Amino acid sequence: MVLVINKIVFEIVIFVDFEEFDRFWRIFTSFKKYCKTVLNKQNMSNTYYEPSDLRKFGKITEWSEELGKKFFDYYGSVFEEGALSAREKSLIALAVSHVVKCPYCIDAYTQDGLKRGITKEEMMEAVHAGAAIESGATLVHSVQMMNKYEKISM
Amino acid sequence: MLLKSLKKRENELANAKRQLEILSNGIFQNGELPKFSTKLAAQNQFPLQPKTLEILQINVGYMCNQVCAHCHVDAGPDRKEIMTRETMQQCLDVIKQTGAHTLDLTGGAPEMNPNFRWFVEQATKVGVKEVIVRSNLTIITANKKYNDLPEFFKKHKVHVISSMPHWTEGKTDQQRGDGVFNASIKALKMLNAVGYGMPGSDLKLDLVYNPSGAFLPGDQTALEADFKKALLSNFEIQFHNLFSITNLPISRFLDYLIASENYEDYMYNLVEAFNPAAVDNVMCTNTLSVSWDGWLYDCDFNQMLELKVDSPVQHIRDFNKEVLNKRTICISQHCYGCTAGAGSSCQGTVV
Repeated sequence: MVLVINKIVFEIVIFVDFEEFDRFWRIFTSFKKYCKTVLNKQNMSNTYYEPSDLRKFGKITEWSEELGKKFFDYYGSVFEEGALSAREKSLIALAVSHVVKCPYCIDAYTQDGLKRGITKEEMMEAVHAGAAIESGATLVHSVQMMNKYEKISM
Repeated sequence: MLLKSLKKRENELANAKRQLEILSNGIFQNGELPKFSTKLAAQNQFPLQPKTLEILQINVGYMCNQVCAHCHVDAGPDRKEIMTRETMQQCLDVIKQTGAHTLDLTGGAPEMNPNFRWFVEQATKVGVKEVIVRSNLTIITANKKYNDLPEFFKKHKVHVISSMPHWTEGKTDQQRGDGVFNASIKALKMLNAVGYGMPGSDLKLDLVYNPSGAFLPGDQTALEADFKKALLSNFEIQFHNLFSITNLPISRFLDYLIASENYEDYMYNLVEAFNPAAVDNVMCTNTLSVSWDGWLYDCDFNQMLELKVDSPVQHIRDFNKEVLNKRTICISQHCYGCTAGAGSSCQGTVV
């Protein structure tokens, strides 16, 4: 497909003047964009994670008002400026978002970090801190393996 | 990096009517999100009306040496709209009679208007308390003839407000163009050298922060602290205040939002962050915007959307304070940009 399109483009460049090519290119790009939107829509309905569901997070309160409210109050208080700065908490949240593999949280705290002027280097280091603890948590279990190995070996 | 304005590229978003259509269609038409007027009405804040006129913001032309990706003016080297000395004189005549205490000069790069210096000199003579120049910084180093601008600003005690999207080179150049960061740093040093932005100095140098992307600005005080720390330790640069300004979904920023498929999410963010307290202090209630050709608008954004003031008086030559004060402010969904979170204005947050 790509090859065919490239060939068409190539031939048009050769045989048609620039203005016509420009017009073709505009139609072609808007068609490509349209296909992408259609594909996206189809994909969305077939996935467990729907990006726009993040906007609806607040709605969980509708099915359990008391608990929902308690949760959001708690959540709000946690991220306020305290002994840790709101900026530090945002980076912790970003790291944890990766560790618990929550795509909504990753979207939310990448955006939150950008808002606070946090650089991509800082964000990536935070994710590595999370990843190191996660892999460490796996590896430290190998002590148990070693213990068991020793215990049942002659 | 963009090299041409939307207008030059004949992009459909260079058309104000098309922008207004987009802002009223889709999620706002199908009721997914409330229109700005509906939101105001729900808070008993509709219609918006002006208070005392304090600031006259004059756009002296859309020509600019930069082509920033987020520019709501769609400014650039290819824009030829420039205010004439005659229109400037009309503005001066109005300033004399209004009692507005601040003259806020913007563009484009206002310094590129051939009558810029004359205008500033005259304005300081007619008795405004403050003349603001919204300088993009790089103009100071762009050409020899602009190198003495810091001295000129100092001589007339001009309040300099400059854009600086981030304290790192990458993020700044991504929004404003290659080399902009280094040129801006050089210009800031030149301003510091003549006394601008130094602690206790009455030569005011403030910076403007716009997010470089589809997200809202964070806390202004926290950002100011980060900017101050980074600029001082990395470049020994000082400034007074940081104004954080939300990008409004019009012109090139709207084009970016749509092309990057961030438009809906961004509008959701703006609407979700709607703050009734910010509505009380939106800048259109104390500011009037004048275009290069003398037409009057509620703000610079409405100017770019070609929404002239809803009043029998629409041009600076017919200026009448009483008549203009009775008008209703023109709004559309872009106005959510000024009421999100702590609010946004040309003077930063409003809450």
